[in-house]
Amino acid sequence: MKKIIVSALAITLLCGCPAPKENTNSNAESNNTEKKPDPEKKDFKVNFDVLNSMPDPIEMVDLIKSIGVEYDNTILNKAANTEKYNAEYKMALNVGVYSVDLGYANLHNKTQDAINFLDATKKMTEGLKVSQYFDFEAIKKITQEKRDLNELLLVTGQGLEKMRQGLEDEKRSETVTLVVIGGWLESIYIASQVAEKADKQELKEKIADQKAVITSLIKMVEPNKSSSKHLEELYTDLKKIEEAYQNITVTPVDGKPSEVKMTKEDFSKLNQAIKDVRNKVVS
Amino acid sequence: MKGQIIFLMLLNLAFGYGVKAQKTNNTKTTTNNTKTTTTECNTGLHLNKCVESLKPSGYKFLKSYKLEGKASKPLEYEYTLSKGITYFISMVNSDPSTKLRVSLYDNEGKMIASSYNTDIKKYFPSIEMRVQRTGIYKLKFSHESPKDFCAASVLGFKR
Repeated sequence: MKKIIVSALAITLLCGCPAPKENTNSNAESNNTEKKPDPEKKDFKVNFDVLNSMPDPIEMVDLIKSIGVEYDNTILNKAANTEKYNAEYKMALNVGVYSVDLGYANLHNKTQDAINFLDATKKMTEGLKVSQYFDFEAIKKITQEKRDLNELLLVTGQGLEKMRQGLEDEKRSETVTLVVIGGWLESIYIASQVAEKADKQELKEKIADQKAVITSLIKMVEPNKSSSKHLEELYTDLKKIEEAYQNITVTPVDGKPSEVKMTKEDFSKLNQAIKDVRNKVVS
Repeated sequence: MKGQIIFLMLLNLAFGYGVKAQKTNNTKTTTNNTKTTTTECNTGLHLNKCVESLKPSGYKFLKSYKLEGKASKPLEYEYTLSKGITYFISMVNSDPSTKLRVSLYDNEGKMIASSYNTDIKKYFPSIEMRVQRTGIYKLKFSHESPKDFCAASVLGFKR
């Protein structure tokens, strides 16, 4: 009798327990899909609505192209400099930098330079684990085949947008902010280098207009500046650019060019501040 | 004795069946969730059509917006527009009966452009305007229907 009861209980237990393999897989899947806290992730606070309202650097680069100044790749970041960028914050800043250089080269139909910058961008995005948002092979093909420029800008622009959205979704707010800052910095650097050579009112007005943008970027970094040495340095550097804008004003006049108040000394001071900060980013 | 054995065997069967039924129910739930996912709004398709609309007039791509979610309040986005640039905002809506519109407001809250023409009471799929002043502008997407948003929009520019 006792043997029967024990056997029955044993059978009951064996049939009642879920299949170990299935249960283990579920748990394993659960463990795999659970995102373990990234020890490198910091609590970087940013308002994504403000970040997404920042002007796209392609507008600045397009303006530079439209005023007819000759292409100069000596002012751009060297593609080989990717070897220097091992820290995530450096990679993020230089994704922004190289994407602007790529746009500049594309707009001037400089195919080989564009491919070099595309490779550099790819390398940086791979380091940041965001390369999946770009179809680099398709972009390279369009570049090499010298197809419609707008199509090229479109595919590149969409890739950058998907990357930014992906970073936002992954809550990598510091990385996406640094990409935006790197892109803006490179666009205003190229603009100021070109403006030094060519005395173009429209370009100077555009550079002066960026005063509001630098203020917004500083506001994004400021609450986070104490969380790391590189953020503290970046904040200090951006403040130097803001300080150089102090005497520069743009007064809009409807239907007419804006009144830009920027002396040669003001521009020279601004140009130097931008150059110093940008060169630090790409070093 | 026999009764006890039969009781224990029935208990065994009942317990074993109960566990299997639970697993089956979990599987069904998963399947139902999968089915629900495939009927959601496909804004990617609308976005591709929007992007195509940039090409005929030579606009360069700037930003895209996936318009999804409850229609209880408009979807609003801010963007810095620059003086002297012509911008183009195009929309593709899954359901034209919802009468989707986009309106553009300056930083003082003044509406400067809209895809809805109040004079002729007509909805247009896009707006095109040359900005007179650099600043942060608000794009506001709204529609008259209580149905959820299922659309896409793209912002382009040219000189």
